[in-house]
Parts: sequence; structure tokens; C-alpha cells
Amino acid sequence: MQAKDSQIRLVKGLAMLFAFVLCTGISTRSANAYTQPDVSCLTDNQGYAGKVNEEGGELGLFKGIKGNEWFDNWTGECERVSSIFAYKSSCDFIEFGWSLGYDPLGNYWKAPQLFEAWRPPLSCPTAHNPSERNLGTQALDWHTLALQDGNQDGTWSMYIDGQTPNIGWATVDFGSGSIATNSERHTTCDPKNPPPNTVCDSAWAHYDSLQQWKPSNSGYTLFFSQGMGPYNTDPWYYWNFISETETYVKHCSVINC
Amino acid sequence: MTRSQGRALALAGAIALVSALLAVLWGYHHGSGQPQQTSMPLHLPSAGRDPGISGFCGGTVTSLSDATQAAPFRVLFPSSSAANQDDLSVVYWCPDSSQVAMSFASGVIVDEGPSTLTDPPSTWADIVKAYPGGGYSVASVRGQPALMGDPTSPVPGGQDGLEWVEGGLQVTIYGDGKTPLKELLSVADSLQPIDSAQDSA
Repeated sequence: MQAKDSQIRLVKGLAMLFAFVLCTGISTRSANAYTQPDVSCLTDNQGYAGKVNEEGGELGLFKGIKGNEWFDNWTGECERVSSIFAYKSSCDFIEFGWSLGYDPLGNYWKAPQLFEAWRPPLSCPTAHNPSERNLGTQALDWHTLALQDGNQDGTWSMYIDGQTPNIGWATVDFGSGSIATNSERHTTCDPKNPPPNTVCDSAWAHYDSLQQWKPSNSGYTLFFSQGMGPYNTDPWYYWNFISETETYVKHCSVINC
Repeated sequence: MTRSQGRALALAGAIALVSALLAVLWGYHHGSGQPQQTSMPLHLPSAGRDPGISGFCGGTVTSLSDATQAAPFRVLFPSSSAANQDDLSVVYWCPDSSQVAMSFASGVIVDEGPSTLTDPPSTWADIVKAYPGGGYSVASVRGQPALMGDPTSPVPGGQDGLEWVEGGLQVTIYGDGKTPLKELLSVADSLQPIDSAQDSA
């Protein structure tokens, strides 16, 4: 009788274990029901298939930019980037953000990857120096990103949630510059829905509470950005990209405005 | 433990092992944390990370005379074989950063604006240190400590240019990736305030 009870308990346990594994599998499946596009999605005859770039920027001389940025989930993108950057010119820039999909190193990522990219000094016509780090499963969350050269010595530091990520820093030949938000995606249809992937999103990204450092500020005092993008109203509002036709960050009071 | 208990335990273990294996394989196939290397080499510039800065420094194309009038400093203009009045292609004016950039047919770009650095010589030294073997060195240009990028350096990056600060003006001369340093130094040596250059032309 005792043996029979043990067997029943064991069978019950097994059933529960099986159900748990099955459920885990199903939830994983439903969360990743997208397909990885072929690498050819990156190129067409022009080499820029459906490339969408959307930026919001403030020209001038700033020694830093800081903002809360939404890290999105993988939905089968060819390539997607959301970042902040500072630049003196197209020959001198430094960028910090996250990406999904294909990266310049030939990897394909299904979770947001933190990266920094910059041009080494005096190397105008050449490629960037990308560096990146796996952020694991920190998608679908806000993170505070900052990029600054507080003492304007040409060495720019990057911070995520107040911490220095383990991807180093960049030494360049400018200590202040214009600042911008940047969103990119490739292909005309980065799928928003599971296969057949017929619904496409834009390169939208969310930035909340963007702030800036001015060269005249001593130390690291932050000021809320007043002029980024075409809107000049309440600086505590959100900054959204919601359409491919927008050329600037949209400034409004709610997410997805 | 009875024989039937042992059998049940063995069965449980086997099922758990297979389930775990299946779960791991499923996670690996559909997982999100690890990169998947592609066998096809990527065309680097198409893979994003291009900030798309317009007008060189977010500025506008203008004439040399308009840029000279707008700039809050005396614009220096070159008269060398690689950069001169006849070969001037485009002039950019960036009012927010007070930059004037002049692009020449040879591929040389001369970029001028108020210095963005608190201690330029220290920055040049930091750059040499930050890119060991990268073809950077510190030299003297027009009597100022300057950063030099040698295009013949066998290091990726293709640095090719000169940069220094004189009288608060940060001057950067970019080559086209293969312009000899000697030629860039000639461009630097030939720089004169625009009114003087025009007078002497």
C-alpha cells in the first residue's frame, strides 16, 4: 500500500514537472515567435535597404547628454539602433546606445546590446570603432543613459543607470559639441507582429527627461534640454519617434503620442 | 526502497533529464542572450551606427565670403597645391558651434572653430596613449603642439590629418585617408587669415 502511494505521488510529481517544462517552453515560444531575417536584409543595390534614420538634436556646444531611454524587445528586426550622441562634425562623433539584430561585427542579437561607437581622431573617411556588451534580458525597461566629457579633456565617459558599463570609454579630439538622439532601422519592414510579419513599425524610440550639460556649467550640473527637436515646451515631456516621416524627436506628454 | 519505487524513480529521472535537455535546446534555439554569428561578411557601412550628420557640422553650405563675415574669428585659408582657392569645393558654416569647414577637390578638409578642449596638448598626449601604435604623434605645427595622424600607419583607422589650437582657434586638417603628411603640413604652413590671403592672391 505504501509503495502504491509513493508511486502515485511520484507520478503526480512527474506530471507537474512535465506541465511546468511544457508551460515554460510554450511561454518561451510565444515570446520569441519571430524569425531571424536573412543577412541580405542589410543591403540592396544601394546598400541601404529601407534604412530609416530619425534624429532629434540640439546644435551647439554641450559637454554631455543624459536621458531615460526605452530598451525594446526583439521582434525580428533586421537591424535597429537607439542611441544618444555628441558630435563636432561628421568626422568627429561619439555615440552610446543599444541595438538589436545585425551588428557591424557580424553578430545577430535578439536582446538589446549596449554599444558605443566613435570615429578615432583625424580619421574622417574611415569606419567607426564599435564596441558592445550583452545586456541580456534587460529589454522592455527604461534605462538612464549618459554620455559626457565633464572636464572637456576629449575623453568621453558613458553611464547606464549611474554605472560605467564595461565597454570602456573613448578618447577623441573634441570636448564639447552638438547633441542628439538617434534611431535607426533597416529594411522596409522590421516586423512588429509574428510571421507572416505583415505589420511593420517605424524606428520609433522613446526618450524621457533628456538633459544636457553646457560647457559653461562648472562640474556636472545638469540642465533639462530646452531646445532639442522642433518643440520647445515643457522639458519634462517625453521624446518619441512614432513615424518614419518624422525627422525630429516628437515632444509630447505621453508615451506613443 | 521497493523495486517499483526504484523503477518509478528511474523513470522520473529519465523524464526530468529529457525535459531539461529539451528545454535547454529550445532556449538555445529561440534564446535571446547569445549572438548568432553569420557566415556572410557584412558590408560595414550598411550596418547602422551612422549618425547622419548633415552639413558637416549640422550647418549649411555657404560661400567663403559669407562664412568669413559670419565667423567670430579670422578664418584661416590655405594656398597650397592640395588646398587653394581654385580647388575649393564646398564651404560649411555651423552657427551654433561657430565652425567653418572648407572642403577641397583633393579630399582635404580644413575645419576651424573655437577650441572645444580645456588643455589641447594634454588631449593630444592622451590620444597618442589611447591608440598605441595607431600612427598618432605629437609634433609642432605653426609653433603650437599638434596632433599628427600618419596615413601610412599600418593600423586600422586610417587617421590622416593634423590638429592644433592657435589663438583659441582649433584647426583640424583632414586628409582623404592617403594624403601624405608632408602635403598636409604644407596646407598648414600656407594658412593665412582670409583677408590677407585674398589680398595676396
